[in-house]
Amino acid sequence: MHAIVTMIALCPDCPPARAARSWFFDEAFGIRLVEALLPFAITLALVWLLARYVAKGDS
Amino acid sequence: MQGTTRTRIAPLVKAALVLGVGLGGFADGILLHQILQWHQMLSSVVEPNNLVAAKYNMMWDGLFHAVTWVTTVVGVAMLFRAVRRPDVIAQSRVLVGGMVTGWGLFNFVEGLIDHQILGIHHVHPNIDQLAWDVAFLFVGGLGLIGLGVLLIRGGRDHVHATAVTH
Repeated sequence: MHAIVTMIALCPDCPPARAARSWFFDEAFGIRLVEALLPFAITLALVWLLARYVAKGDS
Repeated sequence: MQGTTRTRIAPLVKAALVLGVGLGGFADGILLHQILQWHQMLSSVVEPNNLVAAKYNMMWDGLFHAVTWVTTVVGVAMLFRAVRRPDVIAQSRVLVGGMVTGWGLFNFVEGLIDHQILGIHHVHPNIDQLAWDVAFLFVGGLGLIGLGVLLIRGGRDHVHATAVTH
C-alpha cells in the first residue's frame, strides 16, 4: 500500500501510477462506500424502531 | 388550535433522533477527525502519513460529512413538520433528549462497525487503542443513549402532568 501511494506521489501521470490510482480510487470505492454508509443505515433503522416504540406510548 | 390538546411527543422525538444522528456525525468529524486529528475515515486502512494518503482520507471524510449533512437537513425538515402539528408539544427536554439519544445511537453503531468489526479506523490508534474504542462505545454510545432516554422520559412525564392539571 505504501509503495503504491509513494509511486502515485512521485509520478502521478505515469501509466503504472494511473493504473494504481484507478484501483485505489475506483475499484475499492464501492466496498469503502458501503463500509462508510453502513453505520448510518443501521442507526437510522434503529431510529425508526425507537420512534415506533415512542409512538405507541403516545397513543 | 381550539379543541386540540398538545400531548403527542413521538413526531418530535423522531425528528430529534435524526437530527442527533446528523449532528453527532458532525461532532465526530469536526472534533476527532479535524481538530484533534486522532483518526480519519479510513486511517487504519490507508495511514495518512503522506500527502496522497491524507488527501485520500480527506475525500472519505468529505463523503462522511456529506451524509451527516443530508441527515441533518432531513432532521431539520422533520422537526419543522413536527412542531407545526397541532397535537405535538414542542417540549425542549424531549428535543434535547432525542438529539442526545440519536448522537449516542450513532456513536454506538459507528463504534461497533467501524472500530470493532471493520477496523477501518480507531478512536485513538496505536496507544491504548482498544481502551479508547471500548470507552467510546460505553461513554459516547451507551452513556449518551441513557442520558437521552432519561431526558425524553422526564419531558414526557412533564407533558402528561401538565395535561392532567389543565
